[in-house]
Amino acid sequence: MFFNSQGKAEVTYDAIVVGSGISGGWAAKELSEKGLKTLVLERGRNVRHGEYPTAGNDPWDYEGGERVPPEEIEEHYAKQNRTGYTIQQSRKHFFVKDSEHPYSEVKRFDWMRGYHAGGRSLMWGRQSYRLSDLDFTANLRDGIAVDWPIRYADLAPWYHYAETFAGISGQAEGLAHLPDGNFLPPMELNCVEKELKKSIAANFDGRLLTIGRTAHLTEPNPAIHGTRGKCQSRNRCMRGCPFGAYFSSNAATLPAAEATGNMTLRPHSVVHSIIMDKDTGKAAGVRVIDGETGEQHEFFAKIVFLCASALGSTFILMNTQTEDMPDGLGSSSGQLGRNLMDHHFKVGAQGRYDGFEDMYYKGRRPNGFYIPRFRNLDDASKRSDYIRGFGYQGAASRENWMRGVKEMEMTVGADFKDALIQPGPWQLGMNGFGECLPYEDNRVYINHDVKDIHGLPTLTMDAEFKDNEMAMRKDMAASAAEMLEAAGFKDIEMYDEGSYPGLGIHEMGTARMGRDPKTSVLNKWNQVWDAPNVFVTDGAAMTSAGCQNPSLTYMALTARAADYAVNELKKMNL
Amino acid sequence: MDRRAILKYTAYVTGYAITAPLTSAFLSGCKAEPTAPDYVPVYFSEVTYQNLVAVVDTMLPATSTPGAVEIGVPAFMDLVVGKYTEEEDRLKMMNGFESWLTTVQNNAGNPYHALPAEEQLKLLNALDQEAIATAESLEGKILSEDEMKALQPWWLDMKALAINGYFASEKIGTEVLAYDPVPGPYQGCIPLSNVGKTWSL
Repeated sequence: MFFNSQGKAEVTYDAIVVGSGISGGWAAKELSEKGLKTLVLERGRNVRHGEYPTAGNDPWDYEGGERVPPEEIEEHYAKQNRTGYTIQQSRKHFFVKDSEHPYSEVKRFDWMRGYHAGGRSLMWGRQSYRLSDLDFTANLRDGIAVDWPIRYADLAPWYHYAETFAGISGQAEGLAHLPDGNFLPPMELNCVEKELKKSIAANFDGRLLTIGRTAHLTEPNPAIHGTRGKCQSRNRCMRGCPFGAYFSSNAATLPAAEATGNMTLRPHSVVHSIIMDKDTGKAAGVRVIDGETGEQHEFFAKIVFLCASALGSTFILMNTQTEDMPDGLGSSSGQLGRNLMDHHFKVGAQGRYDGFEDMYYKGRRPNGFYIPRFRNLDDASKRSDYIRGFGYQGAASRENWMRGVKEMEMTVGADFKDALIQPGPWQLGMNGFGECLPYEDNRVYINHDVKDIHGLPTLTMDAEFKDNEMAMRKDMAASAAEMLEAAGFKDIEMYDEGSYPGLGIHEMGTARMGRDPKTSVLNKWNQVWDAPNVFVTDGAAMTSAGCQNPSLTYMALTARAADYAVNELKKMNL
Repeated sequence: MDRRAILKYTAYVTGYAITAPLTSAFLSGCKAEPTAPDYVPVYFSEVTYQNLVAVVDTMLPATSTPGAVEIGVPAFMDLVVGKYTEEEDRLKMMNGFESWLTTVQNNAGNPYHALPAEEQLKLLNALDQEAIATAESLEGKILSEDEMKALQPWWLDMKALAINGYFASEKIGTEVLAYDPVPGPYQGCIPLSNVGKTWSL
């Protein structure tokens, strides 16, 4: 089955990191900077910083604009296309083909993936928020699922550490439940967003509007950020940034890891499972299928960091089946694959704003405003109809020529055309991102009947949003509309387009951290209870979801776990 | 963040004065019959394409800025409808367009492309207003995205494609609209007079 054509020494490292996305990039950087010979296994192709073929393209550089032929979508991207924005000519090369990487759905689940060096750190939304003790104590307070084994104080220094290197632009607001970070200068709000901010401050106790906290260099510091450049407001981030202005593994962590001389990045390395040492009960290494040749390899190390994405890491654990662990490594609690979460969204309100006709903006700001959570923070904001809360992300802009389709008083002809060359009215939309509770029956499991292009089994998702999320959504729409109304917006419209797990691209849980090996998969250092030299530091580790975009938390958890792992190695504890 | 286009049709008068006069071509009765185009349509039949060219010319004519026909919008529409549109949407648009062309011909005694300019404008205005009224009547109805898409009048799909083809073309995008491929730091609140036109990107 798996064998080595090379001697064992040649395939032995101090550490193996599986995945090179947000978490894997951080693990690679931290471990190699601490002197560990680190092998980074990336299942897809290599993408070096700057290898972004579409970064400078304009819409007219494609014969049909950004459109992709429907036959191609149907054949290869039926599920990846569910976002409505991922399968475009300038982006689709960073998304997987569903035809090669299938998965099965008991209930609709939208799994968006990018298999290449950098993973989804190349295409992520870049919004970066800290969790707080409101989140870390939530399960305990509500008496659901299990308590997080950590508190904000455990993670705060690591948030600071991750923010400093990644470069997070934002405005300090002094909120206890959305702690301030070590921010680079904030991006500017536009005229109408500033009006809404003023109105919310005047009319709503406990609510505020701030500029989005985003992983963009607004003021690069060469001593920290190296050759990464300042954000140019091109808003083509999902294609890869030639300036390296937003944080990605490709622009930031992988080059830092490479600079140490301690990292080996091996692309086309699909991890099959972890090699367990029967005698010690620890991991000895990993089994890999070469994505190009199909050859099988084994690699060995003292520690393994699983950073393959929430469901990717859980798959590897599940596929690590031994006599003692028929359901996989980490399955002893019965929680592996359970408590799958994502944020629910696509609900909110929008409206038009009369005024500021003589004002405009310059640049395509790759960021919007953020309205932090204001529900269930304390007795005063407590709801009787649901627990937890939501935040809003939104933006104002002036309409462009597409308003000519049906929003103009003028119909077709010369005046109509000339009017469309001028910007239209201001409009503003805000979209809620709501917390999803950890439900034991929202789960994922291995499917041996459907194989992927490498012959590996695949995953089946069986998860849904439930009553608490549905009750919250009503409030998400109504609260958005009331803020717009108070600010004098016109033609206010509430919307709820429906939301299915996965589409938030914040899938998390399935190998949760906890305080007890009987009810959780990982301990407070992200170690698998059943194999302490295996760390899982990506979204799989999340015990609850918060309503904040989670990637910054993965960065902080990864850096913290890497620090702990190296110290434990030094103490000969691993 | 994907935001649904605002469905509201608003009788909102924008704050800037529209000074472009109605072009005299529209008042002079008859327009020259478009010469046989060099472009051979791939998806549209030749006769339907000829009418498409005329419709696009009525909708987005040459003014102080180039017209949609000279920008190549009809050929772009032919390509997109044939190669980049789902069959269901394509059939809806084509059936709608051809049946409207037939009605026009039956009522006027001539195909659309052979009618005087002011009559073309009148016919297209009527079609446009009717389509917008239909779209407005759908608002507030609880419909799925698919249902909403199916009920949206075919003309608005076609109109949207023409508008998109025109404004997202290289010539209009770089020479007519405000083009700024690398803007630098975002400025959120500046006088429109500093920019003068809609940003093209």
